[in-house]
Amino acid sequence: MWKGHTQAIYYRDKRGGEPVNDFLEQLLVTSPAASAKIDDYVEEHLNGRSPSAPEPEFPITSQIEGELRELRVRFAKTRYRVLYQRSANLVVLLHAFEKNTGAVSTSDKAKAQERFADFQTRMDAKPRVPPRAAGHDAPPKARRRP
Amino acid sequence: MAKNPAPSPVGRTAAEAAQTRSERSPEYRAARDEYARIRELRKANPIAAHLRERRFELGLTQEQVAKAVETSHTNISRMERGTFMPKLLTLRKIAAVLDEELFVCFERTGDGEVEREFAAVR
Repeated sequence: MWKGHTQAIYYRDKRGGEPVNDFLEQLLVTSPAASAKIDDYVEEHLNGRSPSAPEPEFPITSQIEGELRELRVRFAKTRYRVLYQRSANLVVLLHAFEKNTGAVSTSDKAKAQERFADFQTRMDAKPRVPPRAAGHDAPPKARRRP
Repeated sequence: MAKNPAPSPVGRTAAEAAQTRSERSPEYRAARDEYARIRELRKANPIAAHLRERRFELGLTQEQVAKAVETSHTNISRMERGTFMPKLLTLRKIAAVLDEELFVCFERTGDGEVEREFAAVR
């Protein structure tokens, strides 16, 4: 359905955890409507966009640092933030939290940046292939059977 | 014994996870339906959409808002459907009930430059 368009996905850590999904699942217990609003915003503003389209404007999203951005969601009197970064047509949802301070804290920013760095490293990693035996210390070739 | 390979860093799609939340929680599903209606309403009438969204999130009924601003439930209902545009002063009272303040924006364009001036409705 979204082929050729952006698709929002959760960052998955090495143990298989998806921190943004975990946050939304916890919120589902305490405030299902807030969880619904965040999902609605992700669907409306981050999914299915042309990869060359500009990012949704403020106040829906804003730049945090470099290509790291925040999706800004207000539910009643509570503010939520979802930090994300684009990787080709994927919108990688890295970190979600309730915002209680003026600016996004350094630790929240660092968490998202670390996760994106890990995402890229693992995406770029090639499967390890053992080196071919060569040179004078290579094991002798197997004898041919007569 | 071979070690399990590390999982892909590409997790589930947000749409897929949202679908499972919708299947598990009736409250979540009802809220998604309400936000879909608000999204449609916003295309035609952003003021109506804002009032409806804010009231929904604060858990207020149309009757409660109507009583607080001394108007009829029918009027609030019509405002939220976008079929009735209230006077500025009524809108200011509703905004106060919704814990907000009403501003109007005057916009002018000259030499390709947009200038905006906000004024509080008091």
